[in-house]
Order: sequence, then structure tokens, then C-alpha cells
Amino acid sequence: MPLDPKMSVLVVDDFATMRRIITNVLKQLGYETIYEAEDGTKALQILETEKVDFVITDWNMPQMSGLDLLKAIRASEDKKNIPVLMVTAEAMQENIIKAAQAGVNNYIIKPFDAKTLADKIAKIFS
Amino acid sequence: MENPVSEESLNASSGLREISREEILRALQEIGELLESYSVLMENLSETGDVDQGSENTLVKHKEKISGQENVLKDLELLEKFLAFILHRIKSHRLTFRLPYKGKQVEIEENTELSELSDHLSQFQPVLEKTVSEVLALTEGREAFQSPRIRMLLVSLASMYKAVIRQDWSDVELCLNHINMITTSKESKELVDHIGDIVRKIHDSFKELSMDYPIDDLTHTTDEIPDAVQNLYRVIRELEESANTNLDMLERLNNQAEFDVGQAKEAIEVLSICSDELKTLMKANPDIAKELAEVRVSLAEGALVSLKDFQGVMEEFQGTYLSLLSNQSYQDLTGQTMKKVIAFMESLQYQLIQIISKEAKPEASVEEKKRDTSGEFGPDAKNRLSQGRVDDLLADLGF
Repeated sequence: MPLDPKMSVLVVDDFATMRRIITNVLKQLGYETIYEAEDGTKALQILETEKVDFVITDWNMPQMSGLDLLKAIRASEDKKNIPVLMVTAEAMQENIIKAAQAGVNNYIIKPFDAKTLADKIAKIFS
Repeated sequence: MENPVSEESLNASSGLREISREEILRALQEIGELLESYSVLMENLSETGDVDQGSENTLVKHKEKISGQENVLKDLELLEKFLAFILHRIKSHRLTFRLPYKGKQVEIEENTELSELSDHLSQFQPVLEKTVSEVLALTEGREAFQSPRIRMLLVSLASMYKAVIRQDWSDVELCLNHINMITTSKESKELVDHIGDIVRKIHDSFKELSMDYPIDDLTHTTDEIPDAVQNLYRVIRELEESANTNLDMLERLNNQAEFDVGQAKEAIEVLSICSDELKTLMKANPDIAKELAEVRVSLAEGALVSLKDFQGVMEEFQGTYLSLLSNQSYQDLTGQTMKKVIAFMESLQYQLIQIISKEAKPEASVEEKKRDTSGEFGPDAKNRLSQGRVDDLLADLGF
């Protein structure tokens, strides 16, 4: 069960099927408010208009990558504290280090299982 | 041009005289022939694995010829300085040319032909800067002779000078690219290694097939790559559709399961109430208490237990549902991997096109073919990529 079912989540992935998968898993975990964006630019627009409690993002996306989105969030005065979880196929050590330096809260390598996602979310808010 | 040779230093080192376009070309040709004979010598050395007295003598003769004071251009080093000087002049918009020589100083006023030539020569200067030292080093020790990279460098330089004489600037550019690849800075080595990997793959494929690939077949293969790429994109799309179909079905199953679990919960509650009412009835009607008790037991052991079991099964289903959901994410990974394969295939296609373009160049004249014995950059009469050529290419790249 989620820490707080009322928590809203933003899922960012350019691949619609992946957004659908993550959204379904989140719903199964009990989250009710889930927003979706296909890249970093759209994600920032949603962050401007909606109250988002945490972000799950892919790395490789058109327009604006997940890393750039992460940097933009950390650079924003009112959004810099939003937790960001990266779910990506980018498994290179240097990329993980880059994400960590940019301020990612946790990092999941695709393919992932629902338990890992639930555990990582729990860890972020613990 | 960086570090151009100063006019003063050139003037001071020797006199200046007029030089014609023909003289420049002749000088370049002479150097090209010298370099070519060096490459032949290097080839012999690499084949015998030893330097015999005859080779030593030839080498010394070449060394003396290259550095001989009686030549129009004293040596390669001087040529490099001369080119730098020309370029420096062009850069300062004074299209006059001087050549260090023992004679008197003569300036040539603006000469468009020379200007054009100098533009092309400007590409050689940085390469020369590097290769002059390598070629001169070649005359100092045997180890350098045995380096296939140096040998190829000489071959390339000879081809380049011949291309200058022919004024075949596209071939010059090809030679320069080749020379740049062979001269090993860290970056160029990485590039050479990268290209080497691709060439090795092609080479291995040819070996595996134990046959030479006619250019026509190679062209055919190249033409097929876009279709293969399209097919891969189609597979990606189909996999995505398949994943979405699976998700549709899973969502329907999950919705049904959630509905059934809800129904089961309600049924359990109703049955619990019934059970409690039966208990109350049993107390109120002791005469039929026994019968009521049997009904209650049947209710508990039958419907209620079955419903609770069903609830357990549904919880297990939720776990399976989550696993199935997660497993659909492999499609994303497969798609990404296939996109990388597509990128590689497109890169391979590009490389093949380069090879085909090179092999399929219009044939040179018979005279040029006779003159260009290196065969490294000239057209291939058979229009085929032979095993030997692939092997040469590999050796060329340091394999």
C-alpha cells in the first residue's frame, strides 16, 4: 500500500506502453492521482499546473531528457524538493553517477518489477 | 596557418627565385616517387623480415637523395616550410611567391593558378608537418621500417602526391583522410580502432562465406539494408501492439477480478449475517436447534470457506497481475535494443557505400594505372572487393 494514497505521481516516459505499465502498477499499489507526460518539456508544463508529490521519469526522451528534467526540477525554487525516481534502461555507471550528481532520489533499471518500484518509493519517503 | 615560417627566416636561409607551377608539380612528383620507392622497400623489408646489405644501400641512397643539397627542394622539411610560407602569404592577401634558392630574389605577382594550387596545398601542410618527421625518422632506425603504419603512410603520401600531379582533388582528399587516420594521435587511433572494428566484421563475414563479394552483390546487400531496417521498425511496432493488447487483456481481467473480489466480500458479509441470525434462531428455537446447527455448519464449511478461498486466489491473482504488468516492460527494452541494431545497420550501410563508392570510381587512364602501382586509392579494374584488399585494409588499420 502507498504511504499516502492521496499522493499524486507524475510518470514521464516517451513510450506510451511504458507509461501505461507504470501507471497500472502505481494504481495497483494504491495511488489514485497519476499524471502522464511524454517528455521533460511536457512534464514541466504539468508541474506548473498540477500539484505533484513525486516524479517517475525515463532518461532517454525527445525534446527534454529525464536528466535535463531532473536538473530543471532541482533548479526550480518551488519544485526543487520534489522527489524524482528514474526508471531507465541506462545502466552505465557514469550515467548513474550523473543522475546522482544531478540530485536523483533513486534509480531503477528496466526491466523492473512492481516490488522494486514499491520498495524504492517507500525508501524515498522513509 | 599556425606557426608560418617567417619571410625573414626564409630569406635569410637562402636566396629567392621565381618558381613556376610546373616546377612545384615536378618537385611534388619527385617526392612522390621517392616515397613510393620507400614504400616498395618497406614492403620488401617486411616480407624478408630482415635488412640485407642491398636494402641498406638502397636506403642510404634514398636518404641521400631526399636530403641532397643539389635538389630544387632541399628535403621534405624544406617543402613543409615552403608550403607554410606560401600559405602565410595568401593569408596576408599578398599573392606573391618566393622560393628559397641560391639565386636572386624574384617575386611573382598575383597568380590565380598558383593561388588555386596553394589553396589545395594548404590541406597538406599540417599533414606534412607530421609526416616529415616520421619519414625522416624512418631513415634513422630499422624498427620504424617495420611498422605497417609507417609503410602505409608512405604509400598514402605517394598516392597523394600523384593525385596532386593529376590535380585529382577528390583523390587528394581521400588520401589526406587516409593519412590523417594513419597518423596516430589518441583521437585518430580511437577512430581507426572504431573503423577497424567495422572493417573486421565485414572481413570476418567475407571469410565465413569463403568468397569474394562482387561489388554488385555488395550493392545489393547495401540496398537491402533499408528494407531490413523497415522490417525491424515493423517488429518494434508489432511488439508494442502486442504489449498493448496484453495490457488491454490484463486490465480487463484485473477489473473483472476486482469486481469479483468485491462481490465475494459482499457475499461473505451476507453469509456472516445469515450465520449470526441462525445462531440467534437456534437459541430462540431449541426444538429445531439441531437442524439449524447443521445448516449453519454447512453454510460455514461450504459457501463461506469457498468464498474465503476465492478471496485468497484473487489476492494471488493480484501478485501475478503485477508481475505480468512488469514483464511487458521488456518490450520497451527490446525496442531500444533493436533501435541500436538499426543504428548499427545504418552505420554499416554508410560504410559499405563508402567502400562501393571507392571501388566503383571511374577507371583511371592506362597511364595513370601504370604509374599508380600502389593500388590503394586508384580504381580497381575488377570492380570487386577482394580478400587481399580486405586484408590490406585491415593491415592498414593496424590489425
